[in-house]
Amino acid sequence: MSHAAFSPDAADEVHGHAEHETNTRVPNRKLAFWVFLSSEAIFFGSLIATYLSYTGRSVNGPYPLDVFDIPLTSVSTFVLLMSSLTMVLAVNAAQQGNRGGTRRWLAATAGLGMVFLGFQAYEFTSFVHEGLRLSTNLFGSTFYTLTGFHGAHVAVGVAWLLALLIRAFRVEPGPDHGEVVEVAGLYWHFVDVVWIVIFTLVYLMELGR
Amino acid sequence: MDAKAERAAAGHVPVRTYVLVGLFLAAMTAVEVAVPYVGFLRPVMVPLLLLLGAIKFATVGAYFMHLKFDPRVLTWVFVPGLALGVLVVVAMVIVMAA
Amino acid sequence: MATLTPAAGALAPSARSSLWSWIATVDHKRIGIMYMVTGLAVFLLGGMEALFIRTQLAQPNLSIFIGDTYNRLVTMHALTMVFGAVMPITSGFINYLLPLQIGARDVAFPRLNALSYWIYLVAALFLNTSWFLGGAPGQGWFAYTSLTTGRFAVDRGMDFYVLGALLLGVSSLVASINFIVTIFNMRAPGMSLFRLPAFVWTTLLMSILLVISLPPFTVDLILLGMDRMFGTVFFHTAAGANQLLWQHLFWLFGHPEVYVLIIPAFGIVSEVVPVFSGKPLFGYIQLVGALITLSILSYLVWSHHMFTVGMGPVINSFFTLVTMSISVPTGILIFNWLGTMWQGKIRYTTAMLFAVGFIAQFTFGGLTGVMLAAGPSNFQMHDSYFVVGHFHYVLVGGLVFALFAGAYYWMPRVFGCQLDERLGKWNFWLAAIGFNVTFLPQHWIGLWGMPRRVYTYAPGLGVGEWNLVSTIGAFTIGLAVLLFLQNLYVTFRRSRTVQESDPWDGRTLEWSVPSPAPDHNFTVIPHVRGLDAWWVEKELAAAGLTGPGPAKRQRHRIHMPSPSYWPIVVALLLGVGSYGMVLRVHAVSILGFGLAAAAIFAMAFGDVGGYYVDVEGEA
Repeated sequence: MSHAAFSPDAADEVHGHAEHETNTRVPNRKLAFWVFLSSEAIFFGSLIATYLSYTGRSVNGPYPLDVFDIPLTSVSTFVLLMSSLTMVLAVNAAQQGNRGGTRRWLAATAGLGMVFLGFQAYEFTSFVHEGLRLSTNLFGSTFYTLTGFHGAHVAVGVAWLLALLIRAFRVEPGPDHGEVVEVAGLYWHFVDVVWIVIFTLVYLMELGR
Repeated sequence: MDAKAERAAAGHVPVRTYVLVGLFLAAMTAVEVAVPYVGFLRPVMVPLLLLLGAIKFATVGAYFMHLKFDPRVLTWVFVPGLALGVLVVVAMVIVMAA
Repeated sequence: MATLTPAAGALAPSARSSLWSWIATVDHKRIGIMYMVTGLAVFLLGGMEALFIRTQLAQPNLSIFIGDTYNRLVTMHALTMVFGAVMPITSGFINYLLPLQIGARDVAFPRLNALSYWIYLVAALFLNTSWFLGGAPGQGWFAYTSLTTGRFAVDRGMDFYVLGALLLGVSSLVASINFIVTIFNMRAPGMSLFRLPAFVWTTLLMSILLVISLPPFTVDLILLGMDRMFGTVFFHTAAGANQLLWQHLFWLFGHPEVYVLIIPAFGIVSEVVPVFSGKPLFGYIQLVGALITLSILSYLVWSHHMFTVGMGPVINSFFTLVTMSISVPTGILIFNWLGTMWQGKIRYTTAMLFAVGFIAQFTFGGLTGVMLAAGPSNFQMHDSYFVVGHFHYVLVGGLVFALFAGAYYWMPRVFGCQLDERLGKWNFWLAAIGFNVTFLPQHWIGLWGMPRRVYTYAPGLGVGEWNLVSTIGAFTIGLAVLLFLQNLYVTFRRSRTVQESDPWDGRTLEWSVPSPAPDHNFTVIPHVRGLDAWWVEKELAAAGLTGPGPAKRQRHRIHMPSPSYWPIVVALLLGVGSYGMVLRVHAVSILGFGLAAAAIFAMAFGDVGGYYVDVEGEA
C-alpha cells in the first residue's frame, strides 16, 4: 500500500539537498551548542557550589590569602577578557569572508589564551611551592579542581582555535565558515564568562573575609 | 533601507560596538578589583561584586555571544540552564551549612 | 525504487546487511534496533542478578550469595537495569520513532547518534568486566561516601563505577542534545509544537531533564574519582569534609533521573491508549502542561531521598511539600489516560493490556511515593523494603510494562511483523501476576522493619514467608520474560508474506511509511494538518479531501548522510582510556583519551560526506 499523497509544498526536495531550513531559523550546530552550554553552566555551577560549600572549612593551611596574588590574577583575567574581544572580531571577519582578518584574530585569541594558561601554570606552580597541593586540605582540593577544570576547558578551546587556524590557512572557507567560527566563539566566550564568575567568587570574595 | 540599517536588521553588529563593549568590560574589571580595597564599601562588598560580575556576564552573553540579536529561542535555551546553575550554588551553600 | 549514486564521502555505502554496514551505520532506525537488542540482552543479565538476590532472600539465614558478593549483585542489578537496560531500550524506541513521528529523514546529528550508541555499548561492557577484573562495585548504585573511599572500597569496583558512569553520562548527554535539536529544528511543515505526538513531547522533556541533571552527577563522579585516584580530600572527614556533598550532588541528578526513566513511559502509554481506545488522547494540552510542570518540579525535590540525614525540620518541610505537589500533575496524566478510555471502543490487544497494567500499577506506586514524601513518617520507612516495593512498582509495574506495551505496539513498525497475540496474553498475565506477587508483600515487610540491602534476616521475625512469596513471584516474572523471548523467536521464524504498514489503524506519522521503512523515511516530506497527523490524513482521504489532483510520479533526489567509522573508533578509544585509569596504567589512559580527543577532532573537522539517492515517488 502506498503512503498517502500529502500535499507537498516541498518542491525543494525535487531540486535536491536544500539548505536544511530549520524550524527555529537557528542552524542545528548553533542550537546544539547552546544546549550544551546550558549543561556546562550547571557543570561549573556544581563545581563552584562544591568550592563554596567548603570555603573556610579547611582544618589546616595554606589558606587562600596565604597564596593568592590578586594583582597577578587580575592581569590574567584582563588577558582572557581581551581574548573574548579578539574572538568576536575573528567571528566578524569570518562571517564577512575576510580570510586574512579571520586568521589574524583567531591567532590573537589563541595567543591570548595561551598567555592565560601560562599565568595559570605559574600560579599553580607557585602555590605548590608554598605548600598547597591537591591533597593538602579542602582548599587545595577544591581550588585546583575548579580552576584546573576551567583551565582544561581553556586548553581545549586553544586547541580548537589552532585547528581552525590551520584549516583557515589550508582550505578555502566553505559557506558555513562563519557558523563554524561562531560556534567556537560561543565556547570561548563561555569559558571567559565562567572565569569571570570564578574570579569574583574565589579570589575577590576572599579579600572580604 | 540603507546598507547599514539593513545589516543592523540582520543582526550584524559593527566592530565599533564590539570594541566599546570590550572597553566597558575592561573598565568593569578594574572597578571590581578595586572594590575590596575600598574600606567604606566593605559592608556591601559581596552584593556589589556579585552585581558587577552579573553585569559582565550579561554583557558578554548579550553582545559577544550575540544573544541580544539572535532568535529568542537561544536565550530561552541558555537562561534556564544558567538559572539552575545558580540554584545549585545557592541550594548547596544553604543545605551544606545546615 | 532507490538507486544509490555514491558521492564523495567519508565512506561509500556498502552492502546492506554486512556487519560493517551495522558498525558504520548512522541511520537512526538501525541505531534504534541496536539499542533495543543490546538493551534487551542486558535486561536479561539484570534479571538474572535479581533472581540471584531473590534466591538468597527466599528463606532466613541462607548462604548462597552473601557478604560482598551480595552487595555487588544488588549494586550491579540496579546499575544494569537502569543504565544498561531500560534507558537504552527507551533510547531505542526514541531513535527509531522520533524522526518518523515528526516527519523528518533522520535526527539532527546522525554520526553523534551512532556515537551515543557505541559509547553506551563500550560502557556497559566495561562496567560488567569489573566482575572479572578486581570486583564489581558493591557500594550501592548511589555509592554513598565514605563507603566508597579509603579502606571500605579498596578494590577496583568503585573505579569501574566512576568511569563507567561518566561514559554513560557522555552517551546520554550527546543523545539528549541530538534529540532536543531534532525536535526543535526538524519538524515537518505544519508540525507545530502543539501538534507533536505525546511520545515526542516526552522525548523532549526527558532530554531536557538529562541535560540539566547530568552535570551535578558528573561533578560528583569527578570528586569521587579524584579522591580515589589523585589524593584529594573532598570526602575525608578528618580534613573537614562533609559527606553530604556527595549525596546532594548525587540526588540532584538521581531524582530527575527517575523522571527521565518514567516520562518516556508516559509517552508510550499516551500513544498506545488512544489507538486502542479508538479515541484521541483526552486533554492533550493538559497532558503537555502536566509533563512540563512535572519536569520542573522534579528538579526541586532531590532531598526527599535524604530526610534522615539531619538537615532539620525547615529543609525537610520544604522537600515534603514540593514532593507532594508532584502528585498533582501526575494525577492529571492518569486522568488523561482514563478519560481517553472512557466511552472508547477498546481493543484489548497485548499492548493495551500492558498499558492498562501500567496505569494501575504506576498509580499504586505513585501513591506509596506520596506516603514516602511525608518527611516525618519517612523516618520509619527510609532504607526499608517499603521503598524497594515503591520504586519497583513505578519502575517495573510502570516503566517495564510500558516498554512491553511499546514492544507489542511498535513491533510491526520496526520489524514488519506482529508478535503473537495469544502468547502475548500469556506473557502479560504471567507478568502482571508475577510482578504483584513479588513486590506487593515488600511493602508490609518493610513497614514491619525489614531493612534494605541485607543479605539475610533472622527467622521468627515474620518476614520469612513473605520473602518466599516474593521470590516465587520473581521467578514468575522470569517465566513471563521467557515467554516474551519465545514470542520473539516464534514471530521471527514465521514467514511473512504481507507486511502491513498500519496494522493497528494508528494515529501518528510513523504508520504512514511503508514497511520496511525506506532508508530515507519519507519520499516526500509530509505536510502536517493537525494533531494526530496520520489520523487527520486518513480522515481527509476518506472524505475525498486529500492533495491536489491525481498523484503524478516524480523522481526525488534525497540527500543522505554517509556511514562512518568514527563513532565506534571514538567509543573504543574512550574505553581504552577508561581501562587505563581503572588499572592505573597512566600511559594507557593518556594514550586512550588523547587518541579519542584526536579522533573527535578528526570527526568534527573531517569531510562529513553524504550521498544522493534518487527515489521515485508521488509528487
